[in-house]
Amino acid sequence: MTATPMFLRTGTDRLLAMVDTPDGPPSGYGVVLLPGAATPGFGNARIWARVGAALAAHGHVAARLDFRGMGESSGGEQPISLADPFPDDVLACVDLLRDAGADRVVLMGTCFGARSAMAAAPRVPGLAGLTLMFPPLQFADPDAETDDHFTAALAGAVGTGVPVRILYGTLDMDLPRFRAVCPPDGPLSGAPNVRIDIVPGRLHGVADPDADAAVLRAALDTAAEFTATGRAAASSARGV
Amino acid sequence: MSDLRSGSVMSTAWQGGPTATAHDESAACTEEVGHLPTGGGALFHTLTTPDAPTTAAVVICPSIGTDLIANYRREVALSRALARLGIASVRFHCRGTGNSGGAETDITLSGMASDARHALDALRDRHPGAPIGVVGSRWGALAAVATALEDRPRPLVLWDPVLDPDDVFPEGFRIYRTREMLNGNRDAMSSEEMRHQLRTGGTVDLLGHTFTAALHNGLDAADPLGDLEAAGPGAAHVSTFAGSPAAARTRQFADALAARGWRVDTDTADASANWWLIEGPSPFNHRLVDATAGWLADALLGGAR
Repeated sequence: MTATPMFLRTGTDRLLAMVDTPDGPPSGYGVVLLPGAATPGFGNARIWARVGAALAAHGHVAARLDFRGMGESSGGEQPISLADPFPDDVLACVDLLRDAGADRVVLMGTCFGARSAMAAAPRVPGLAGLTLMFPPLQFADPDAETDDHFTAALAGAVGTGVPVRILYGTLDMDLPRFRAVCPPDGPLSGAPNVRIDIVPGRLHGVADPDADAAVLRAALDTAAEFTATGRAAASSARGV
Repeated sequence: MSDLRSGSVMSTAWQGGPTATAHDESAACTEEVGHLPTGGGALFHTLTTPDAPTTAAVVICPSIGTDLIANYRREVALSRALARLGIASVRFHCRGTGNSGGAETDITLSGMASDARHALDALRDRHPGAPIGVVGSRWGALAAVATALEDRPRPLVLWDPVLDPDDVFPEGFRIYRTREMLNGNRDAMSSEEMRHQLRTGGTVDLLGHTFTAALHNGLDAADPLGDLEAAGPGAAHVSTFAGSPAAARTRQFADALAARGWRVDTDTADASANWWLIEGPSPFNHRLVDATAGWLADALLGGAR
């Protein structure tokens, strides 16, 4: 596996992505790994760096993005608002993966990265799946009335028709609000392409070994699921 | 192609890849990002070169754990502020952290110093003959001291330095226990148990980051004051971060260093010192960045500035 730094241009910003490429034959899938606010692309507790390496070991190209104003990217003190995430940064990363030969793309994000993935999803060509880890409704923005923004963005993501996996810990502060706005029998949680996994503990922040293991497991299992689903669909389309 | 499942997580084994280069117009500099081979895992680094002729250069030694994230953009801003003054710089991620290779459990203070030495060599290769200063933030302070004392004392800047286990672990233990209490875990280790674990060869996990006995005991045994005194007088700028658990010791350290003949400038930065709980971007501190860059320019260039 080789980790290669790449600079991307989006608008007036210049972003850094660390691209993990497989040594062996590429699978044709790319995975965009999106960290939380204020966190560089390697992620809290370096989780995305390890996920990227594991994905590359399985033939996928993974890109770990430093959002604008974070890590090695350009930008100053960017105000972070859950109602106004950074989908253009995600799309720049998608373009990079497509240039690297990935026809199908998976978006994975934690916290603010998940919100940015939700916002970008309807505009991603060849989207194969979405992994949204503890997407916040109010975290770090406690006064914001973001439920409408959240449900609109999630509706857009679900409307793509690709598999959407949402992960929370039982102790994550956003879980009660998520359950309130997305009840199990509601149109979003109940959509056939949506699966919601609630696991014990506090995942937000990836701040203990159990959270680390749960995030790692979810990242790799959903990548396996999405790429298998995509391969099956492609085979079906070809009449194989 | 093998099946991708969570049980098959590979260890991270980075190899040095090509570099990426970009010009930053607002900072009037070029940033070059890549990996340096070290023999023990690739070292992620960023070389910042001013558009103007380079007059001096600075090695910026980062921290580890959540500190690395909390201070990250201040260090990026520092390298860009230095570039505006015609000063090149190198930043890096210690092996076992960030985008570098290696495992977190292998981090040692001597390894961090070795990483700083690799970064210094890269900077010297790029700017031969340029006077060099060194910055160390938090856990990066001891690596900065070692780098500053190579050959002859170089101008040294310390941001809220971690010089003793008590500067960092008691607060980490408290936050760990508070978090576990909120999580309903009644079996969380006590601070004393965690301290014992570290003293006797074990490891502890603090907010997702593994700290080893080697790291703890290395910090316990370090004598930066003695090392600086033995190297002879030099110039240092020591910033205390308001509210930091290390603040009192930092002030004592600065006074003691001055008493040993070093020229020591001090200030207190109104910077976030909540090193453990990252809940959003750390409050930026232009004054800290500008004061550090200005002090380095004076120390490295003197009247030539």
